[in-house]
Amino acid sequence: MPPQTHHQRTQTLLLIQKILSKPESSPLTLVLDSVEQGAAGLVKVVVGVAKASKTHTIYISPTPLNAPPDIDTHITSRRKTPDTLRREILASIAQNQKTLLILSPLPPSLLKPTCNLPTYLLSLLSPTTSMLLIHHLDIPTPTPKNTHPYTPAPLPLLLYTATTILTLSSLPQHLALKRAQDTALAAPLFGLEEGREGVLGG
Amino acid sequence: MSFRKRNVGLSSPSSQSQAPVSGTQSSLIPGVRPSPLDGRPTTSTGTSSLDDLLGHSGFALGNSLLVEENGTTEFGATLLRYFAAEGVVQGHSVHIVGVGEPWGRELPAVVKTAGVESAKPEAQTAAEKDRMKIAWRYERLGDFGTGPSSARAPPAVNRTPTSAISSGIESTAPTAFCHTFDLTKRLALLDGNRLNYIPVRPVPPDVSPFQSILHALREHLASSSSSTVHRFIIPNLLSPALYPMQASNPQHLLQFLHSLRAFLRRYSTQLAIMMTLPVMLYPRSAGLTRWIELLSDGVMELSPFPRSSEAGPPMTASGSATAQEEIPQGIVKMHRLPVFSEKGGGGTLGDDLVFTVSRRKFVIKPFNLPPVEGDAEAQRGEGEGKPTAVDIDF
Repeated sequence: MPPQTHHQRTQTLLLIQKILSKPESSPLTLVLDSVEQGAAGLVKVVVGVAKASKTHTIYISPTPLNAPPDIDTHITSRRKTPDTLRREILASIAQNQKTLLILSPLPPSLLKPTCNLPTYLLSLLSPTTSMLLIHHLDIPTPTPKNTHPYTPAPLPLLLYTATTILTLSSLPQHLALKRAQDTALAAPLFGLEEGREGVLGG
Repeated sequence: MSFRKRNVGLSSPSSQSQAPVSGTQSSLIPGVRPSPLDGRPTTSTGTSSLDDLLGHSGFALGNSLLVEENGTTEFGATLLRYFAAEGVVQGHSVHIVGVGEPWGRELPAVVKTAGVESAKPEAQTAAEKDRMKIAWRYERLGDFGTGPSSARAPPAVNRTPTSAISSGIESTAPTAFCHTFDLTKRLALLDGNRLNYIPVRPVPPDVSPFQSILHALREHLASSSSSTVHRFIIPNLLSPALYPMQASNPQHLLQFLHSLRAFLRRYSTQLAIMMTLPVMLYPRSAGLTRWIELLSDGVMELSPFPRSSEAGPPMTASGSATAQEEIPQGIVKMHRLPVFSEKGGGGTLGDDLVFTVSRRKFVIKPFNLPPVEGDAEAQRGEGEGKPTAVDIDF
């Protein structure tokens, strides 16, 4: 392996280790996942590390069903206006304690044109509070109505605001791609591109 | 010239008093000099290579420059900081929109000219030799026509105060046009009045957030004397962190840009505007961005290379040729030049340009492809035959 590639790989490994182990090193982490590779495993690791470092974890999701078991507080985001949700989140954040907010996924009420998404997210953050935001790439974000056409879409806004962006993809798929490449075969297709009716393979 | 005595040296004191400098009024203002093309007053952007790119060996006053930046990097902000720092050093009145005082505290400090001279003594002597050949009255117009690809002495040397003073022209006024700045040091602001922060005030959803900005600018321009040069800086226009959501409404934004243009035309010898726009949120294919470009006099785009990714250009090749050269950090595209007339104004629109930001400078230069990475084996094979200086160093 050339020394430069080796150096790059070490740097990448150290970087991802730091991001996962110290949530405060990146205030707003955006995780882009899909049906083929969900973020549940990653969230579990992050919550475990946060628990080890005595960080208060607050999990915000529509239902408490899919929440990881180790979290400290759960907040239901279903049928809540952005302001109610913010009040509830801020009430559960203890002063002078490291806190990790996990939004899985981003509540759809925040995508409405009346809500300034970056300002809203920034209002939740503080030097001791960081946020892990999970966005499902497979679910289309509705274009907000009643806005002029030049307002930036929610996803570019999130990409612009986030300090770390993690894109998840499936390891078996990558291995299959590499195997096909090594034997000079056509690359296999996964997910919707596979073209199989009613079945999601991969 | 038949009425003049012959055989009299041009640099005699009598002729010096009649030094024909076009635009006599503008030459008295520090940091402003006439363009070598048509004599219009120009000022420096604080980045000498950008000054050369803009065609008039400076940024013509009464114009605006839009810097579009891809991605979430801050290279455009570096250009703005140079522009602001140059204004502070020259005593211009600098207005900054949206961001607060922390932004102004991070302006880069001026590098002492002695450091530049000791770093490049051979370049200095080359410039001295060169100067003997040029008629002295053209000398202060800067290195016109050299362009970024010039092989001549670096333009910064010609602009140091010491060389200007030694040449005997205007020994009282410092004629340094473009300073060199050090990004790692902070500019000491002697009086806080030089930097004027114009905040974006929160407004109800249907009101333009730009009205208060325009009002503040109008007041400053009207209350200042006619010899004050104003630099108007708009970092991250339309960024959601600084501006409310309705700012990107064309109804508000285009009005604002039209008003800025009106100011530029009215105070055409006093005002220069530079702004950055995040193209990630407002892509160039969108109609709004096109309108912003049409309403700006100069448009340039910065596209940084992805860092430490395998898809990135193989700049850090193991070859020794690239060792001394700095690695380019992104591509610069000039989409539009201010004052691009039949008299010229630079022919750099089509070139492939790259920028490099280092501790000392922001340099824009033509892009040359480095040796292909695949040739590393061949280069190493040569290296084993005859050890070079680089091999010995390792």
